[in-house]
Amino acid sequence: MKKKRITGRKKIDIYQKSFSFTHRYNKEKFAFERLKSLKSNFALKINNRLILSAIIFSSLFLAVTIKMIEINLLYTEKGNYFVENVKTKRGNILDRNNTSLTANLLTSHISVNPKAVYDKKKFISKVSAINNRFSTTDLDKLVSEKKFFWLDRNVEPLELQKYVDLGETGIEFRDAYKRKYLHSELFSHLVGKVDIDNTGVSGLEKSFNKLLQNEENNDLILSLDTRIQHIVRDEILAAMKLYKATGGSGLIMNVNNGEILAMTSLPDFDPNNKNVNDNDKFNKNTLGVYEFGSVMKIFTAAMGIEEKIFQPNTKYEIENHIYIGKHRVEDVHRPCEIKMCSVEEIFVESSNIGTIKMIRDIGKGLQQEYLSQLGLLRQVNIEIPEKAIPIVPDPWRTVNTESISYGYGLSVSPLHLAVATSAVVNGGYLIKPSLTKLGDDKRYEHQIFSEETSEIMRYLLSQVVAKGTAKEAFNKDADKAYTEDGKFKYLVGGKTGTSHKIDKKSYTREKLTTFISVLPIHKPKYVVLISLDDPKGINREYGEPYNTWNWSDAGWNAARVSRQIIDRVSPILDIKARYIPNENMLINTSH
Amino acid sequence: MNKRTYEQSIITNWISEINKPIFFCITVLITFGLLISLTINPGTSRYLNNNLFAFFNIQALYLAIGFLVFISISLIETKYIKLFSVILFTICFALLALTLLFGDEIKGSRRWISFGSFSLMPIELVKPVFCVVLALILNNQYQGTKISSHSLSALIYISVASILVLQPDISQFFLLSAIYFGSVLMSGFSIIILTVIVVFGILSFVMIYLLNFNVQNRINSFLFPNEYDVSQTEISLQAIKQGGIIGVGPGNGLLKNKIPEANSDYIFSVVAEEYGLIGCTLILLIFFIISYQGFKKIYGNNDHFIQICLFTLILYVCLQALIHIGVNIRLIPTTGITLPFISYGGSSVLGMSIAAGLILLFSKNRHIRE
Repeated sequence: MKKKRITGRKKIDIYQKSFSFTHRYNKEKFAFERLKSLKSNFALKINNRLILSAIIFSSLFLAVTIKMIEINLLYTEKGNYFVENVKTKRGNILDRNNTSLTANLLTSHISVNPKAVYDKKKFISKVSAINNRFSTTDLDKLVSEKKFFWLDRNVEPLELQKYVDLGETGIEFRDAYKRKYLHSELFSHLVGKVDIDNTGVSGLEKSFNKLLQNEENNDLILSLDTRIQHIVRDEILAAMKLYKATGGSGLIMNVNNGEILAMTSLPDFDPNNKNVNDNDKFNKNTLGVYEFGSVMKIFTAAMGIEEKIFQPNTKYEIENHIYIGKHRVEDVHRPCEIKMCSVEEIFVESSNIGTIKMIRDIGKGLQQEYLSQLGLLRQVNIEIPEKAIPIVPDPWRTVNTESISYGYGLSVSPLHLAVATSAVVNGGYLIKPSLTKLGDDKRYEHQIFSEETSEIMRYLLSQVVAKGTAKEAFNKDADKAYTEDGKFKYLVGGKTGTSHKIDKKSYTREKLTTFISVLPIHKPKYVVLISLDDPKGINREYGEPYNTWNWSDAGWNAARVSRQIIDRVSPILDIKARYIPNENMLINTSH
Repeated sequence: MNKRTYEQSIITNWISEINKPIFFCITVLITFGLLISLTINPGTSRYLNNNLFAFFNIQALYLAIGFLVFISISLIETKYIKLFSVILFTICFALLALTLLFGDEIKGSRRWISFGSFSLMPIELVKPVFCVVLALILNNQYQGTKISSHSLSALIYISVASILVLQPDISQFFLLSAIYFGSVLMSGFSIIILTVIVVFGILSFVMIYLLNFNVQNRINSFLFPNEYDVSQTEISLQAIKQGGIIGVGPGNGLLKNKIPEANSDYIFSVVAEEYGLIGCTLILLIFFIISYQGFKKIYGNNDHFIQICLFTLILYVCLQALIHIGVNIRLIPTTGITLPFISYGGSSVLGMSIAAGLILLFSKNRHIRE
């Protein structure tokens, strides 16, 4: 404010009547003063309004802050989008070395709540662009029904993002764990699979469903060994290719406590796939029943020796053929050169005629009693739900007794056979097969055979490998794939079995070859059972490997596969090879 | 004298004149936005084109441009900024009008207009210059604003707002209305008439609510959360709860993969989940400081133009932030409003940079000295 500008001067006149107009009217000054007061009034008005706004603004900030703190302290979750699904994680299945066989993958389920759909037409066109499970008409129908439905399940993150990006109100998401089978086909029949709701539908997933769904401490440890399972599956696959077999099965079981280390049935399936062929789904080891042929002679011999009806050196007269009922039975070749052959020769060379003569001495009653005790006449007992019931002849005639003695007329599963053979070689004790890990100690149920019988049977089994039907596979190093020379050997005993498969009550040309082996034979630890479905003979030039001279019997294929498996598996199972200067020493090592 | 002229370069003037707290706050926001775009996006971008940093690169570019715009606008003289605002407003208004004809329809509304691969949301650029244009019209310190100015401003407001209603973009409409009524309030208009107009506006909104299903649905789900689909807000509330005080850590949040538009409309919940109450309080504090500093500048100011301008700009920036946060914590119904500088998106960042530049420009110290 510049005071100099005021030009009006005060004039004091004491005679004047009033003081009203003492100031000379100054237009400029008046305007300025008026403006000044207007300006200050206006500024006051604006400032008041500003203060009001500031108060409102501050209260907004305060409200937001209070709400934030309230959420942090007092808010309770309704839908549990963040916590819920961690609990529903399914327990994993591990092998005996704690290798994971399964895993849980975090995916999402996508559902539709039609009540919340804003624009039905647009919703359907948008969703059908991404989703190929439902057609446009189906979607239209489902949305119109106003009921909750699943749009897609177990959706991976990339797909999920597409649904999220639609930004439609009716779509709801929830987390879900998808069961993943890490080894694909390897454990398909054993581990089984789960349905979309993570409930087990087959295999161990089904039988241990409750345990696996349990919230804490829910891992399942199996007796299986991934390494051994791989070897068994590899070798059988290779053999199926080599011998043009249509299928195969293999199992390795601990003879002392029943732990199954490997069990494979081919063809198999990938449990990660949705659609599985019924044929692939079939577990030959536990669900399939077969007539195994000569392998059953083990039990005929064992029961005769146990009952002291014959000894390995007891002689039987072997004719060229024999009749059971109307059926004529022949041998492939004679077990010995002379007329009378010993039980040992009959067993080692797998003579049907000799075995029939042996069972005629034993009789129907004893046979039934022993087979029943060995568990061959009842359902096999194992953790998975796929369990076989043997096909037992009814009525049981003399003909059946005689045919069962050499392996026809009684259909059992490979697991039945392995359990019964274990009982023969482990000192005579029955065991219970198990897929879950047990301790190392022996778990015998009850004794069927004496220690002595068991030892004699071990000797007979070792002789089959040393000079009998499995000689080619084990002694001559048919392929020399795993041993430098024949001097270092794993001590194995076994029995071959070749049977013709039955098809609508008549026997076909298709064969089932089986080799059951025990290792080490002097102190049995494991039983190895290999079966091939319809292997063909191979005829190659002399000296070439894998030549079977067109033979397709068990000694040429199943026994060879067993030997290759044993050679690979033994170092893992800590079974030591023996140095054998000559074959006779084998007998002395049986203790 | 020579020494003095040497010292007075543009930069030294700028440094001495700017309001340092506001400058600091905006810089922190931009940095925080950069950090958030780094941590939020792997969830989305990993599956889109295998480039983990695709979103980050784009957002970093936007933020860098935004920062440059912010600085350069604060360097311009006030008289040029008036011209600049009028020109920019005219262009953006034209673009906004064009969205009705050539806009890309996304989720039922035409808000975007695309130029090749780049698409723009014109309303984001309209808002800051709208503030300046309003202030230019309504500015009359001495006699109070004339009726003709009010009519002009109302005309501009109604034309922009009607485009927004036609698009439709109700949330931006609200923000624009807030800016307009804020400027009218600061212009000295009768507070009684203003209240009547606002009440009338709310009543007409009720009419819109009754007619528009989308808005109806959102309001209903806010009022009766148990009966309507509220999964988005429900999830975002849980995310905030999950974050607690210090958060689950950068990049560890689950929210961003669960709801659409998490990186724009629900970014605050993502921040709450990953950085906890501390991160949220920081953001709130930044906006509080900006508004406090701005209001302080307005209070003693002689220039009515700057008063209206600053007031509306601060109203715009802080109200947008508050609405965004309010939606995230279910204080108000769901709307698609971005959080300044933190949310992903070029248009939003650019518009906010212009607004922040203008705030910094108008809050310079010289305006008080005059």
